[in-house]
Amino acid sequence: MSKTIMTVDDSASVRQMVAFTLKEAGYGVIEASDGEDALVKLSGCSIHMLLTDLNMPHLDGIGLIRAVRQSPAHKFIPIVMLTTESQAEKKQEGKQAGATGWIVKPFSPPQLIAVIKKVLG
Amino acid sequence: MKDKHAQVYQQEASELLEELEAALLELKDDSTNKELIGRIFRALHTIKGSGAMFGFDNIVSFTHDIENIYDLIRNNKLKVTDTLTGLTLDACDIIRDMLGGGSPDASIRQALQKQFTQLISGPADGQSGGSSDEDRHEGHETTWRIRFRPRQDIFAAGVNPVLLLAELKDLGPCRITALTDDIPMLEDIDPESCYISWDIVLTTDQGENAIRDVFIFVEDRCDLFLEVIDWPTLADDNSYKKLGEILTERGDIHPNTIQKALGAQKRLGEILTSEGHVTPERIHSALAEQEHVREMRARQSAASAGAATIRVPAERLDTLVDMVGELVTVQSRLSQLAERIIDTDLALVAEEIERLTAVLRDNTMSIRMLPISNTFSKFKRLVYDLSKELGKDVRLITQGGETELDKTVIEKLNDPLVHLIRNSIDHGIEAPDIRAAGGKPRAGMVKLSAEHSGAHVLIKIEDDGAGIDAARVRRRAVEKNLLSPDAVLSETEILSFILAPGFSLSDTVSSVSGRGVGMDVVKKSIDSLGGTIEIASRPGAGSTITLKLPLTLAIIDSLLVKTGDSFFVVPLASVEECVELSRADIEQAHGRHVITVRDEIVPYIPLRKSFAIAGAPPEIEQIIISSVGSERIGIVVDQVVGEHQTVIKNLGKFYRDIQEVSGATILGDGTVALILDVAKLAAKAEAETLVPA
Amino acid sequence: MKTLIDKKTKSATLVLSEELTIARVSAIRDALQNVLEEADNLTVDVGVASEIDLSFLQLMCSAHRTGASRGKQVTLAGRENTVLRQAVVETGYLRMEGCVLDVGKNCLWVDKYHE
Repeated sequence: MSKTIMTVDDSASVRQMVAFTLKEAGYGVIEASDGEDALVKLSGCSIHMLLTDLNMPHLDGIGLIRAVRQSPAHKFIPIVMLTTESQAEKKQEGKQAGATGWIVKPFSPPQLIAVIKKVLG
Repeated sequence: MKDKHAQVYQQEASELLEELEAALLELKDDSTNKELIGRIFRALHTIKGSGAMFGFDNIVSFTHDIENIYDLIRNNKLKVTDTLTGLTLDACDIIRDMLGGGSPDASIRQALQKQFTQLISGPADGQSGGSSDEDRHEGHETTWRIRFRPRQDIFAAGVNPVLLLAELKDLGPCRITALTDDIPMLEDIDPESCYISWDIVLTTDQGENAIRDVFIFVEDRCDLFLEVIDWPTLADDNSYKKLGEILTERGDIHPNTIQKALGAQKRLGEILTSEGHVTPERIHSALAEQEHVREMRARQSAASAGAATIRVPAERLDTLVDMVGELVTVQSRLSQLAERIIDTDLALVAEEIERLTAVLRDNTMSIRMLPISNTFSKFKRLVYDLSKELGKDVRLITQGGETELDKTVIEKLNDPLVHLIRNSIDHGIEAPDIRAAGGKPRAGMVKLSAEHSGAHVLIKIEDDGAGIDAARVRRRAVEKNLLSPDAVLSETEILSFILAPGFSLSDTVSSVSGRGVGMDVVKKSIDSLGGTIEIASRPGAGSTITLKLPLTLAIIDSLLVKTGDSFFVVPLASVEECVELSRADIEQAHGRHVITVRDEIVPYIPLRKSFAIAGAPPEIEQIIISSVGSERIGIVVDQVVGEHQTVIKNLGKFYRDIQEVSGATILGDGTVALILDVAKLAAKAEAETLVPA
Repeated sequence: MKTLIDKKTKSATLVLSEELTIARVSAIRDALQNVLEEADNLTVDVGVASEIDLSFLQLMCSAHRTGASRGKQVTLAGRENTVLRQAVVETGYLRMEGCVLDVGKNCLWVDKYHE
């Protein structure tokens, strides 16, 4: 059974690149454009992992991570945040909110897959 | 497209290099000029940064350290020296070389890089701050003790520690012990918290950074202890620290306690646990470390021992064996001579030569010996493929792979073993459902083992399948007229019918076996090696087939016999017994070549006739009763001389077509004796209808 | 999750199927605790489990030592399940000897898994 990963990013191009890479690697993908959109989509389905950007309108990455860690169905799933080199503080905040790991933008498809293997197997 | 960009980069970088060199030369005379240092840093930075974009990865990694150094100088943390400017100029040459697509001598590059790193960390290796880019263990196989103590809330962060352990396993051989002592009782446990920690022993050449990278996401959610416990230069022997040392080193126990416990005459681990000083799993973990390091050291020394071997063409070895064979012959002539000519000096020399020859012979033979493990490991794939094909679940266990056998024997053993393993899987091991119904594990087992037994090697093929139904074998044998219905036979004798030509137990033929060809072929190959086959079966519990093989083919145990003036040698492996043949016996048989031995009629072949040897046979002749397949056949000779260690010599081309003779040997007095191939002899005799079918 | 209790012999079997992972581990803990109140012998059958993770192995340790401390026996059935075998090996759980609390010398992880 293939595992399903949700990718959340307000940039359509990043989402596209991520979704394409994940599908190539055999994962199922659900796309969401921001934290709110992600929560709406999550209420109807179950995923194995969350991949989220931090800076997003409506509900940002930190807020999303906190909300997901509250939901019984997704309390223990791995969550990876997309950060940039300059966001050290945000990264720390994300970790405190319950993120499992992070990947620094810009990244290549193999780097992304390596991180996913590390947290999801 | 990409090439075009690369060209732009190459041009840009060469210009930067020129600027860099100019600045460096200026810096030599003006070593504190901030502006110069800044120019140098920026040039290096651009060379590196753009290099990454256009795939010049070697330049990136090479420039990285140098850039760091100038960064330190820029921030007044390091001073410019003549050595440094000199090294940097050298580096420019290497970068220029890399730009041109060349790959400069790796050793020069590495040496230079090392000198740069030393400039940062100082010449003494010291404790270079953990996260520095330099990793002195990288590239050297090092054994680490890793203690991973996750915080209780690690699950809540979506971390699966098992994945981290799996990542460690990817770095190299490792042993993992989970420490479970802290798990509370059901009423106290928060099942969503983690109470487990791990001790890991890992051998890897990836360096400390690679290990730390595994834990990068959890570094502030766990305690992580890394310690080097072994590296190759330490491994001059396979012994490792004692259990007590490991425990105290780990801080699991106080040295005084160890001292006290050592006083008692019991195993240290038992005392320490029974007295409650340390929990069993800590002992288990420490023992795992001990075992791991020993194993790694053994592997290391085996690898370096491997380097100390010389490859020699096999034919040179064969010549050596030949020469030693001749020497053995000459030596036994010398010994005979010394017995005849009574002379103490001669006797002394003859004895000494006898001793040396024996040692030389054994040593020479041992050179041709190879461990059977290579052959064994080939069968793993065979078992896998076969069990898949037949829808069975079978595991192969091998034992005694280090047992050595003559190279030629090993080569000829492959096909028979393949056949026997096939049989075990096809006929022996039952389908998983049947096994489960019979209370056996679903997975069947085939065990292949080898062991020494005197001058022989025993190879066993065991399975835990259904066994061979002796009653069924018997019925088949009777149906095929191989056995009279009222014959009284032991189970081993009945089972040996499986080896008869054309004998098959299955009514249907599968792609793997059941055509009734095979076991007799196995038997023939083993016969030709001078070996024997024994079959044992435990109905419902499995069967065991034992192959008994001589250690070497070059020298065999045999029986020396004589007819007329000619000597012959019969391999002892095929001899069952010797009986006398009197004139009265011959008359009783009314001209047919048969004799009754133990109530069984055995056909015989008079050697005198087969080899057209002149002269009349003696009053009482000897019959060597031999087994050929499941049949017995006699060979009539004038006289049995006795047992003989036979050094086998090949016959020349001239004799190659003579099937009944498999070789020759030279006796102590120089006479040649022919080695009889009993099976061929019987076959030929049968063809000439000398022997009734 | 299915519990079978034989009131006479005070033996119980808890059959656990599907995913025995952290998401369900709290519910399984409650079930274990309840059964151990009533039974003296508890067999936890994981023969048909489809996934087993570290938190479940940890919980079984806890149940086993809880039983041992009360003179009750907790055993595992369905060991041939490769999912279990794999989990025991991957987590470094396999061992030679039980823990201090293993008074009955019947640690769940000793020596019963081939390879």
